[in-house]
Amino acid sequence: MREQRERSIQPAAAAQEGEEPQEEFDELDRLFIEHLPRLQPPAEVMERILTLTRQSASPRRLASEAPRHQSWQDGKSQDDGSQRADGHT
Amino acid sequence: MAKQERPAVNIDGILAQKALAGDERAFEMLVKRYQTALFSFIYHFLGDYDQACDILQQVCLQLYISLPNLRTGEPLKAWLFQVARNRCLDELRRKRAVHFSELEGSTEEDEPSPLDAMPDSGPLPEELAERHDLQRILQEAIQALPPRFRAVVLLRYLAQLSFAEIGQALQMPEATAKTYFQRAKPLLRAALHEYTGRITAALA
Repeated sequence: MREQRERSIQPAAAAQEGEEPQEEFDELDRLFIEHLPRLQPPAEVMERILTLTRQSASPRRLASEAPRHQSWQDGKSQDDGSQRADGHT
Repeated sequence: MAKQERPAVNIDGILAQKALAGDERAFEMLVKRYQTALFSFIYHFLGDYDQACDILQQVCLQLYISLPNLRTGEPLKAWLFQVARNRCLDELRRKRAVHFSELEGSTEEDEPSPLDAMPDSGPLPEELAERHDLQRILQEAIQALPPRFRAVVLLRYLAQLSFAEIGQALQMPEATAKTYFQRAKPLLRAALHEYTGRITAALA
């Protein structure tokens, strides 16, 4: 079973403090970085997303209405997969 | 060594606050900042273009309803990829449970490839074919990785996140993210071995 603990997002402390040296990329890395395609999502998908958000209630209201919606910080999991996979559950 | 400020964090925070206040344009800008990296990550994770579209939509809508809870001073990028990764895993799990055979057929040659829609700068047909071939091999190498390695590799290569950020996105220690990445690389090398051998032979 997949771990369900969804921790809050903390600042990248080590990186911010400069502790993490900039890892160098080797040839293999460069091959993937240069050639693995970056894809633009279809315009209609983006339009649909924006249309849905325009048509919906404000985020505040949606959040208050969403059942068992997890806080950004609370780090708990959802049993319901459709709700859980929200990055902070 | 001077610390690097992370302007992306502040920009995200400003946009998120504006979006929360009802500024539709701000939300649009927020989405556009990450749409390519997110979509590429999702697509390469799943290997399914249509599902990638669906999941991108889910991630963006999740962002919208999560705006009130976002801490605007913290990196949004890692959170977005965390959401995307979780959605992808859900999808993979669902596919395995319901349509396991689809996973095997997901690399059919006759599938319309999103790569076809990529702009190019007018290479020769041979170069185009070779580039397409390489991209396909890279994609297949990524797809062949175990999902936990795949997520790390994609975040590293597509989003170029630091290992600290990858750790945040995938809820694992930074050291684990590094370890996964290093373990994935021999697998990638092995997958590419045939291709590089062919290129070497052709150049010899």
